[in-house]
Parts: sequence; C-alpha cells; structure tokens
Amino acid sequence: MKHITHKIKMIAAMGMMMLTQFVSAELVVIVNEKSPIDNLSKKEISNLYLGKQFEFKGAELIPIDQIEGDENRVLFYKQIVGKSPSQLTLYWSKRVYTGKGNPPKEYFNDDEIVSIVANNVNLVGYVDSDSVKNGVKVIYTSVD
Amino acid sequence: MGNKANCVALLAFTCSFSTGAVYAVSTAELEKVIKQQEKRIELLERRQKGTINAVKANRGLINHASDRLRINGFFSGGVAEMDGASGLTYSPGKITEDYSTRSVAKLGLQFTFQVSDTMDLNTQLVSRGVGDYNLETEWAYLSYEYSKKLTFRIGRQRIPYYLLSEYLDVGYAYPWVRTPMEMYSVPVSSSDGVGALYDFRVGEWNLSWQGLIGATNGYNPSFELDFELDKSWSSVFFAERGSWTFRLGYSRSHFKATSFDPSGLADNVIAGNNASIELNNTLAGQNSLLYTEQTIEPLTGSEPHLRSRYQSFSFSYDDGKLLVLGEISNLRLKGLHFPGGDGGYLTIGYRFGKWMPHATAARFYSDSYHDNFINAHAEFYEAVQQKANIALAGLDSGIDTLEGNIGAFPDIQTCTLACTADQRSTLNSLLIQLSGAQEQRDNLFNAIKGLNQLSVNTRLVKQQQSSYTLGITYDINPRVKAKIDVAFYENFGIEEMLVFDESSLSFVTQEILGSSRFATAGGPGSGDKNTTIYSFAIDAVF
Repeated sequence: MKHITHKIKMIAAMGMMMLTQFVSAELVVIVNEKSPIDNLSKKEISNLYLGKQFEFKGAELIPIDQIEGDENRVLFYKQIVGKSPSQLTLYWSKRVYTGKGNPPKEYFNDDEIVSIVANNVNLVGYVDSDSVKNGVKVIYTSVD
Repeated sequence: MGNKANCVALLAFTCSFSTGAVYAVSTAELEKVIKQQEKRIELLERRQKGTINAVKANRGLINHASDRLRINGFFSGGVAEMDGASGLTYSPGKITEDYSTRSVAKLGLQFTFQVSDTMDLNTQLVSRGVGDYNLETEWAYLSYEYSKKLTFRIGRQRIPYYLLSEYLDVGYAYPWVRTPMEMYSVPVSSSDGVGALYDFRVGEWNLSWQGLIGATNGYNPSFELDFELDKSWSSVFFAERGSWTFRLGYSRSHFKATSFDPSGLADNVIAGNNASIELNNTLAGQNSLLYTEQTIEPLTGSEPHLRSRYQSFSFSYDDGKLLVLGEISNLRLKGLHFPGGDGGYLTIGYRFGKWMPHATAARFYSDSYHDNFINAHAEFYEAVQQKANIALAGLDSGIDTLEGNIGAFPDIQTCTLACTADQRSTLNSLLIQLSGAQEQRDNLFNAIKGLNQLSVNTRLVKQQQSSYTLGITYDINPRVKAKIDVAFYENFGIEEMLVFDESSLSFVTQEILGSSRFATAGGPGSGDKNTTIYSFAIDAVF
C-alpha cells in the first residue's frame, strides 16, 4: 500500500515537473526596471516591433530582436504580431526599400538581450520567462 | 536553470517519504544520475558563456562599423515569353516570342550608412536585364531626421508615382513577376531633388505625407525621344490602419524633349506636323471638303507650354491571408501627341500556407483629353491631304492641257529642223513648264502619301488594352519566393480612318487594329488582336 502511495506521489511530482517546464515556455516582453512603462498591450507591442510607433505614454522605446531563425522569434511574431517569417520579410523589405525604417537590431540569445535591456532604459526585448533577471521588468506575458 | 533546480527539490521531497528499500535505491540512483547530468549541464553552460563572451568581444571590435553600415539586397531571375507568332513585342520589358531571361533579371544593393545620430546616407544600385545590366543609381540621398516625425532627403530618390514606387525593383515585395504594365508605365522612376517625409498618428491611423521637388531625365522607348522633367514636384499622402493602406499622389512637371532618335516616331511626327502646316499655307486657296477649317500649332517637343501631370489613388488590404491591391492613375502630357490617360488594376490573392494564388484585372486607355488632341491633329493632316488632293487634280489637268498643247507640235528632234524659231521657243517653254508641273505633281503626291502615313500614325498614338493575369507564388524560405504568371492581353480597339489609295487617287475609309502597349513588328495595325505572356521568376531579398 505504501509503495502504491509512493508511486502516486512520484507520478504527481513528475507531473508537476512537466507542468513547470510547460509554464516556463512562455514568452515575456521586458524593459529596463527604471522604465516608466509598466505594461503595453499586444497591439502596442506589435506597433513597436513593426516600427509603426515608438512613443508610449511619453516614453521613447526601441525594440530589439532575437536572431532570425530563433524559435522564440517565430513564436513571438506569430502570437503578438500575427506574421509568419515570410510575411515579416515581406513587411520589412517594403519598409527598408521605402527608406521608412529598418527592422529591430538582432541579438544572439536571451542572456544578451536581458543584459542589454538592463543597461538601457529605452530598450524593449522579449525572452523566455526563465531568463528574466534583476535589472529588467516584465511588461507583457504572452498567453498561448 | 530555475526549473531544473525545482525538479531536484521535488524529487528530494518525494524521496524523504519513501521507506521501501527498492525505491530508496532507485531514487538514490536517480538523484546521482541527475546530479551528474547537472554537472554536465553546468560545464556546457560555462563553455557556452565562454563562447558568447568571445563572440561578444569580437563583435565589440566590428560593432562600431557594422552598426553604421547596413546592407540590403534583392534579386530576381527567371524567364518570360510571349505567345508565338502574335507579331507583337513588349519593348520596355524586352519580352518577345523567344523566351528571355533578361526581362526578369534584376540585382540590387542598398547601402545605408549612418553619418550621425540624425543623418543617413542611402544608396541603391540596381542592375537590370532590361537595362542591359548597366548599374544604375536609383537612390543616392542624404537623409536628415529633423525630428521623429519629420525627415528630409537631399539627392537622388524615387519619384512617388505609384503605391510600389519605392520598391519597383524588389520583386519579392509584390505578387506578380512584373508590375501591371497598364499602370506602371512612366519611363522614369527617380529624380534629383529635395524631399520631405512627415509621419504622424491620429488615433489608430498611421498617416504620412511625402513631398519631393526635383528634376530628372529619361528616355521614352515608344516615342523614341530623350526628355527632361524639370520644375517637378510631387505630393503624396499615405494613411495606414490595421490591414488597410490608402495612398493619394499628385505630381507635376515641365516636360522638354532634348533629342529625338533620327526617324523615330517623335521625330517623324514633329517633322510631319510642321510640314503639314507649311503645306497648308501654300495651299491657302484650297478648301477642304472634310472638316471645318482648324489650325494647329507647330511642334518642337520642347515648348515651354509642355506640362505633365500624374495623379493616382491606391489602396491595399493585407490581413496575412487575404491580399487586395488596387490602383488607378491618370497621366496627362499637355501639348504633344501622347497616349496619356487612365490606367489601373485590381489584384486579389489568398495565402494558403506557403502558396498564394492571385488574379489581376488591368486596363489602360488614352483618355478623351489626349484623344481629342490627337484627333484634332489627325483631322488637320487629313484636311491638308484633301486640299492637296484637289490641288493634285488641278496639277493633273494642267499637265493634260500642257501635254495636249505639246502634242500639236512635232517632237523636239523633228522640230529642231522643221519648226520656225518662234515655234521652237514656244515648244521649249511648254516642255519646261511640263517638267516643272510634273515635278510639282510628284512632290505633292509624295506629300499626300507622307501626310496620310502621318495621320494614320497619329491616330494610332491612342492606346488601349485590358489584361487578365493568373499567378501563384510559393515561399521557398522566408527570404526566397518562386512565382509563375500567365497574363492575357486584349481589347486593343479599332481605329477607323481615311487611307489614301494610290491607284484611284482617293481616300477610302478603313478599320485598323488599334494600338496597345505592345509594339507591332509589321507596322501600324499589324499583329494579333490579343497575346499572352508567360513568366517565371525566383525573387530573393537579403
């Protein structure tokens, strides 16, 4: 009987492990902890990343991006901006070739993005929620 | 990292409840394995960090330069072919009935060099198959960001004629292999000057205004002339909201022909036009039976009153699945025979994953303003022909009379011996008169033929056509697309006109196939009533 109880507890623990891993896969949008911005809507983030709007509540924001081909980048643009990688290329090729702006600068990974955002009050990035460290704050959490 | 630590904690928690020896062993083993794994992960992470730091250090060295210089590029390659044996060619696109790769080939490089926080230097170099692969500078401007909303540009930049003006050469950015020729037909695309861009937001709308003042020059392949556009200005208003974009554009310019291809269309039309006015003056005594008397102006192609005006309205809808594009435009060139008029198209596409089938209907016709100008000139040439034809009949009867008078004399050899001196001198003067009259008649006859050609060609300056295009695009990867288009062109119209019949010396009414954007190999009115262009392209941006 004890064995069975133990087994159940094991399974429950495993389940929680899986749950923890599942929850950790969410994307968060971060800014410098000193930024006056505490939250942005999905639409505002989309506008920011598409270069349509840089001023929010009186503060100027500059988006930075994950590197092209990154899984979280694909997820971010699908969930928040509503564009596939091809559509994103199309969008930016139109902007770039009208001289109306360039896509956000790309960085290699979450660590790099977190440390850069922590050092600049204007920057906005998106990372895995597990990568969030001191110096940055979450202004949007993506829900699947 | 965080969740791995959690897992271990959870496992330890479960293990503390365990009393069974078998499980104790297994959990202990499990813990050991996990600890080993953790150590390996730590090691790998340390290595990764080392790599990142090394990369960062290297990037630090190149950052300064790479941040200041941005390079973008685009490429198109493929083939296009026109329906065989139609007798038509599309010269601006270098498309004939033989398959051609140069009609599609394009390579462009764009460099943006950040001069300071507020200044960029932008250069776009494009090499096109239709331009014999010569490298052309489409952009070369300094951009100055006065504020987040207002930017100035000085130098060579795109003239904002169309919705797709700025990325005309970036095939990746539009669904067809080439932009619809009914709309995209102005033979210049860039101008030297000063421009301004003003961006602002009103509620959910992203609005912008673009202005450009400048001058440029170009070559019109269907008119066969080099021209200059100066004192040009453009004003464009953009509005964007969600999936919608609207655009309203207006451009004005002074037009001046700088040189004509010898015996090219413009050269012939201008020379013919002016010759017709001269002939009309010498035939002042005659009256045309055809039209009420009207006058036209001599042409030089560079009169100060030549003005061009271009206006357009465009919209697009793109929600990621459904794509709708529509544009209409009107081009007016005041003071020259020119097929200015209304052009436009409507495109609908729908994305199914990587595939996007699309359909386009397009139409162009020279409008009543240009048709009236062209018709008035053609009618003048026809009226002069009529007068000349009456004069010709007069000359013919004069020649008949002279020949009758000469017939009363023996021929000139016989007369040399048999005639009196008076008779000889009369005969001589009659013969001189006859050869003069015959020469005059021949000249007039040739003038009538030339004028007739001129009036036929003038009427055929008017253009019209419709087209229907079906195509599909496929995303090979996020930066490369493949495209196939089949475009059917028809509705070139019928021109009714008077054609001089040399044998009967009279004018007969004929119906001739009207002109389109296509050149006819066999001269005016020849070629098929319709044609099809098949195109394939690979487009990339990088």
